[in-house]
Amino acid sequence: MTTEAEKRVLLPARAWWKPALIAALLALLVLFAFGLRRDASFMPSARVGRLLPDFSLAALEGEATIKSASVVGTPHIINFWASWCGACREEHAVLVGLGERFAKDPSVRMLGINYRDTRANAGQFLKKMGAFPYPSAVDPDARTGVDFGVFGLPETFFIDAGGIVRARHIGPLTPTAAETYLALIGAGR
Amino acid sequence: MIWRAIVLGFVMLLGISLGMAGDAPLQQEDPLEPRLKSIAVQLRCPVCQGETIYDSHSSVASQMKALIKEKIAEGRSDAEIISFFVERYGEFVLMEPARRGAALLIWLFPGLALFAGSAAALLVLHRRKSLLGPATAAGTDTGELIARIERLEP
Amino acid sequence: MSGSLIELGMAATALALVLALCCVAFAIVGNLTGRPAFVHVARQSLLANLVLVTLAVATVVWSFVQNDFSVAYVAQNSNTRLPLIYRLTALWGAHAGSLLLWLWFLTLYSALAVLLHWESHPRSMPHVMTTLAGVQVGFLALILFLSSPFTELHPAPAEGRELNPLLQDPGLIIHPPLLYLGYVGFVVPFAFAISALVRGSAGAEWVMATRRWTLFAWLFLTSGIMLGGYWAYYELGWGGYWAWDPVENASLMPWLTGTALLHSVMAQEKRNLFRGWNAFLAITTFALSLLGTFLVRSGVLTSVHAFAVDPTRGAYLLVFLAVVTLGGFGLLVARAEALRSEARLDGSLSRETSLLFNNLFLMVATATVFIGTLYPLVIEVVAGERITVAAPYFNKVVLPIMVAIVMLMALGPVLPWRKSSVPKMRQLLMVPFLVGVAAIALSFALGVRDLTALVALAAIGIVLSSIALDIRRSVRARIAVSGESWWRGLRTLALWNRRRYGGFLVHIGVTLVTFGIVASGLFLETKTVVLAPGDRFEIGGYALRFDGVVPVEGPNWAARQANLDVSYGATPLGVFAPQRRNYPRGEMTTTESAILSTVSGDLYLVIGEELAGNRASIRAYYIPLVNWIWAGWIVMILGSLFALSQSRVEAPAARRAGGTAMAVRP
Repeated sequence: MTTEAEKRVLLPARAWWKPALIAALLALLVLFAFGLRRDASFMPSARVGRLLPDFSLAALEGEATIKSASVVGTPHIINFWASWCGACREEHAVLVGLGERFAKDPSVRMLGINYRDTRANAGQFLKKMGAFPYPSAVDPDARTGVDFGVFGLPETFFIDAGGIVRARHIGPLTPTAAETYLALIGAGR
Repeated sequence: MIWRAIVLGFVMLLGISLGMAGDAPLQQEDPLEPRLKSIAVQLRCPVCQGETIYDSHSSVASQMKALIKEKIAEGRSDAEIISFFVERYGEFVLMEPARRGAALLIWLFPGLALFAGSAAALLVLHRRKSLLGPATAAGTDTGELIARIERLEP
Repeated sequence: MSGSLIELGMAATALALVLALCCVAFAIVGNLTGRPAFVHVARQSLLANLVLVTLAVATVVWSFVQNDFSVAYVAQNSNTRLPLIYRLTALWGAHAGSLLLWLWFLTLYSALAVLLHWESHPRSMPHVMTTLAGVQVGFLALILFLSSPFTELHPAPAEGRELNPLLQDPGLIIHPPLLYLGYVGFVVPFAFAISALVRGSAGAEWVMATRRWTLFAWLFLTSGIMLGGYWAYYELGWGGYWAWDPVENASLMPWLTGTALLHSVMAQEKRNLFRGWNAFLAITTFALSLLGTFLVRSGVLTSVHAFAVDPTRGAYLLVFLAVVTLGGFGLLVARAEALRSEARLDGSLSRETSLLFNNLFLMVATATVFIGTLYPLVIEVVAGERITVAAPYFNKVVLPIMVAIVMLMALGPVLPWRKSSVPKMRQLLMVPFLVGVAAIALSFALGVRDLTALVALAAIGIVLSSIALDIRRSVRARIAVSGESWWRGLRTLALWNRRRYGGFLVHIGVTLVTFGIVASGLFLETKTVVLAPGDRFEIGGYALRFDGVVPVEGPNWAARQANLDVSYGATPLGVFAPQRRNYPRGEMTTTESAILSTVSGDLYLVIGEELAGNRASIRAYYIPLVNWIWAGWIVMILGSLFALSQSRVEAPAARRAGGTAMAVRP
């Protein structure tokens, strides 16, 4: 832009800068128009298309250990949540709804991962909001979260029967978004 | 207050050490800290607005710093640690865009713009000079004159 | 009852929209049909709009003062425990109110421009008023229909939420107004440039008329940016003042083009050169001011977790931006032939040429910041990937260009107009060149190895010595004729030629800022230590003792505060207490650093994580010479004010005086 305009002063006889200036301006406006339509939470996941990372985490309730190997074989929805996360409250009902649906229909299983939280706070959160109809594992030091490439909560991953991560949703999950992702892991309605 | 600040400033500029009172031993930085810093300033905090994980006070950033420290202790190289994060978070996590692919363009842009701009300016200066010949001394204040006439709007 | 008050504000704004449209119509028709009465109606509408919008602003401010939570904007950004001073300034604490402040300044500038130039520029007035009122229409419609601070809540909540805690700070009381006074101020040069283009007379007239407006707006934009940096420095707690954040870049771009305009208008004023270019710069600067608002307010460049962005508002801002830029640049393209410079650039070594390169560098810097800021968006739209372009890129790429601009400051002011010769140049620059070499040698001896820093330090030496020599030459010439004392001679020269000497002062301020930036970056010390109560550590020559973390309560926040007893040698300096504050109503946390500031540098303390056993991690910075940046800012303000103090009547006489001084020069 600089050079065009700079030359304009110096080479007034040649008018090539005119279409160039207007074209640059239009290109910019078109770029902004696309920018406005984009999803602000768009963030491609480096994990999508690859096998889910290995983990071995303690369950939130009980003594069990939840391992990544147990996820392979059945399509899974893995949701990262925490008691300190405000937006997690927004999606809570959606997750509980999905959990109840897949409690009856074992083609998909769900797993919560309680992320950088304390058991006490997490328990209180579930008491207030209602428990998930599926198990949660605890990731207090964000180790597994980092392996998944979690940016900020809430985030939900959709994993197919082969253990490959097919989609990642940032922000509160909505029923429509969930259906789209479920289709990707071969579990659409 | 100001005078004290100035005096203090001079004392420090001269590097005078007046000796320390007290007996408790001095706490030092964790020996891993300098390397942690050199790595952490290259990584972007995922939940912040363009801050490095070194500068950020968010808890995600402190978790990531703890992880880096652990990897340093394990004996991993800087490049290994950085690619550990890139693998998980994508190139987004790099504070500095890579000098290849699409991002190469922005590294080349300022140089190209400066070169093209200077070349155009010099070319035109030269051409004008040769086209017009030496400037005449008569026109010294023409610009000012025109300016003043134009200001006298009817 | 108060509900009716805010309705009054809304009604005033609606009436202002009608009057702004009225102003556009009457100014155009009056000009086309040659009816002065119509143009007069346009003038009165523009003046009335200042009153109406002032009233609208007053109703919102009063609602904050009264804690009237039936006003949605008040309920969202204030609560009864918020101190009065922040309730008064909460107007610009969020989106809708910020736009209202923008609009208020716009009406203020519009009214002032009309009052000040009505007599002197009657031909331009209809076009200037049309442009100003047109921009007002854009903002009035945005505020009324898409971003209203007048919306009411029924029933009113008993308590409001919270003003963004980052904004609960004395620095933020004046930072946005200063910045907006800068942004909006460029609307006057823009309106005059449009007028000149429409009239097809791009002589020096519009440049003379708007020169002071440009300097005025530039002064405020500079101050807004500097204060923003200062605020970020002590509020954000990372020891830095400039992060190359998109929001910051958005304010830097109009500053760069505004600086270019400030310089290149001189060429048009004195030599009638760069006519089209100046119109281009005036339009670009205002367009970039608007772009700043667009980028910040539309959500085009926000972070991952900014969920609440209104797409309609973004679309509206885009259309508004399109109308202004396509209108402005379109007009420029259509009228380009009328703007050809008749005068010519005729020597390769002249003030004109140095101004040309000053503009070239400033524009390359602008374009680089522009592309760097928008490139992640381009990549996202084109390739569907996310990349980061942040501080490391800009530091590596833009700083060298800035250093080149500083270097040009040594050359520009001392070069004569029209033509110079190589021997003369050698004579002018020999001593500054030696000073530059000495500066490099000294810095190298002190351990500076960074190339950009070395060149910057040399540039500072060169610029300062070049300015000093120039002043010395002028004063000598003066006292040789007048026989005054040295000091009186300098005084007389400076007072006669306030623009030149004000400019020198601004340049000296810039070198101080540059010195502060370079030195604080080069000799920065950082330490992160984990401390138990009673533990001591040292940084930058200071000794610190950690006395533990205690809870502290504020009016609307609760904090964890680390107490650090600081001493320098045997001198105790008191307890410094960085905090982490939690604002429960806003569910937000802020980091409050503790800063011990001296001329030689700042000790900057931040509280980190608390660990078991009453231990805490403390981050300490020693930032040398950082205060030179703020000192340089003050010098820049003083220089600008001195240049602005030259009255318009005095100007020709002073210019002649300056000319004499230059002619007497050996």
